[in-house]
Amino acid sequence: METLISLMINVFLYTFRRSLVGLTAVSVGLFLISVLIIYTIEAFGGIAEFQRLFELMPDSILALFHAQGGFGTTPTSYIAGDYRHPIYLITGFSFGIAFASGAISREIERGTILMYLASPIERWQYVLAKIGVLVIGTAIIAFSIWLGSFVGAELYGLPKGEIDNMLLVFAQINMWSLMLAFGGITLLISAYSSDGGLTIAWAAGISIVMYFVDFLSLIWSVAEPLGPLSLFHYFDPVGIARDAVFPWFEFLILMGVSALSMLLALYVFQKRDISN
Amino acid sequence: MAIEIINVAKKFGHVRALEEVNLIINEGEVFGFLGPNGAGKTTTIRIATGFIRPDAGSVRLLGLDPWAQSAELKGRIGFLPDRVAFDNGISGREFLKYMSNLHGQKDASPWQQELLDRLELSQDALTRKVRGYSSGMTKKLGLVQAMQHRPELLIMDEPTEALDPLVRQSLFEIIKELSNQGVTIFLSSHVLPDIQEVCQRVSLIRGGEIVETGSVESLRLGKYRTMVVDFKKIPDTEIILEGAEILDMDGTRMVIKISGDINDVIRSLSRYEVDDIVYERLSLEELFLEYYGDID
Repeated sequence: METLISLMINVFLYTFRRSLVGLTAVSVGLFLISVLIIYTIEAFGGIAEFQRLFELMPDSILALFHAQGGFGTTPTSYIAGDYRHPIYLITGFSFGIAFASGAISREIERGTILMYLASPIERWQYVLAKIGVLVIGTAIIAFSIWLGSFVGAELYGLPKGEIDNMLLVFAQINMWSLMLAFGGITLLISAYSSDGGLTIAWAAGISIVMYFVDFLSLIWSVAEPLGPLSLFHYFDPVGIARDAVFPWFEFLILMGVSALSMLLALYVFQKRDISN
Repeated sequence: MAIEIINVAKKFGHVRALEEVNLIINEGEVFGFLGPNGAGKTTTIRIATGFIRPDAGSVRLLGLDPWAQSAELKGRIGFLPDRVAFDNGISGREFLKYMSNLHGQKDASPWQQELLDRLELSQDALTRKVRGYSSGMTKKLGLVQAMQHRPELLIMDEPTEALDPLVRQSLFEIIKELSNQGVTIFLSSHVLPDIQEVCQRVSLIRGGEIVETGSVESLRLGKYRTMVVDFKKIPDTEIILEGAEILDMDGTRMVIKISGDINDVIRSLSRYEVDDIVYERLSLEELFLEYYGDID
């Protein structure tokens, strides 16, 4: 047992080291964007002006931010709302999707998996070690975004009472669980496939369709019942900032999807042929 | 037995890859697996190493089931896949260290150093990124990782491909030494002289079926051999041979194909005035051509 754990730690450390460049680039990039976003408050002439501008916006624009129920009038809401900006979603998710694709299908495609799995480690243990990197990597990205918001607020000089860092932490936990859920789904596709490019294409396609379904369900009553089928339905940073509560339901749904897809990925990979 | 493959069959979709493959390989034996591309060599090896599950039949390596007891088995075997691949940006040394860690070894062993020396993989080469390696260096690195943890059973898919003749010879020496130490070696190749050089027994596979198994010598028996006969003068009467067929007749020189008992042929030839006979033993290459010559 001790040996198996030590082998998994080896795989984890090796994989983490190899992911470090990409992870650092994404984390630093999103940290800087989060700092800069605080400064965009100035462009609207302050939070109050931004709020007035938002009230004039059509529902379809508000839906992009999940803000039909009101945006809130605090800087916390402003920052949390920006967490649904596509640049966060695309950049943040690109790590999880690329990593999960590389974890299995790209290794099969390249042939490296034949070398690594010729060692005394079970397939599921090998993938579990990689899941560890996915969990930690996405957590680092979420933390970088929060840290960027925190540092940005300090640099901008927002009054201490105007920003609730704990709510931004909640929003980032919500985002982390969403990244993990997409990472888990990608890992499941990766476990089936022997083509890294195809895995990324499928995962990106599913993400785009889910984003579209979520958006459609908010602006078109006919599509409303479809909303819960999209993972983006459970990503509501504006709601967290507005209602000042931890989104337990959303968190549990997203973590449930992550856990289920990862378990299925372990099972599928354990049973499949590695034949290409 | 080191390897027992009994009645193994495998299909990929509708394509039959293997059909009732049987292989028994003894401990300490060097066994060659011979066949053209697409014959089923790699599929058989992937089944033996637990990467592919057979549709039917049973497989045991060192008494273990490679699918159900994969981790336990892989701690005792060394494996060189047909395609040696590495992660981008990794150096040779990092790769060997990672592979050695995956086999539970913390530090480089003197045996690893010996393998590197004998396969002519320098320390300088090891510090370089594998991306810049030639195909020969890639293969050498793959060979070292397969042997560095001193496995009881070594399975190698096309181990000599891309190696230069000197390194190839070094590898054969290592294989022979390991075999003398009781290590079982199962290697596939389509390079016939390699098989002939090191293997005690071989199996020939074609279209997913084993067509012949035995020592190189025993495989030669019962197969045709060619003989060149030079007569002192052109025979006056028609040449009648028992156990042989005339392939070519050019003046006083005759080339015959012997498929039966050579004594019958000699007796038949004694009726004529023979000047010289050149009789060549069947090479593995000719044997190979006999089995696979009709494959495009």
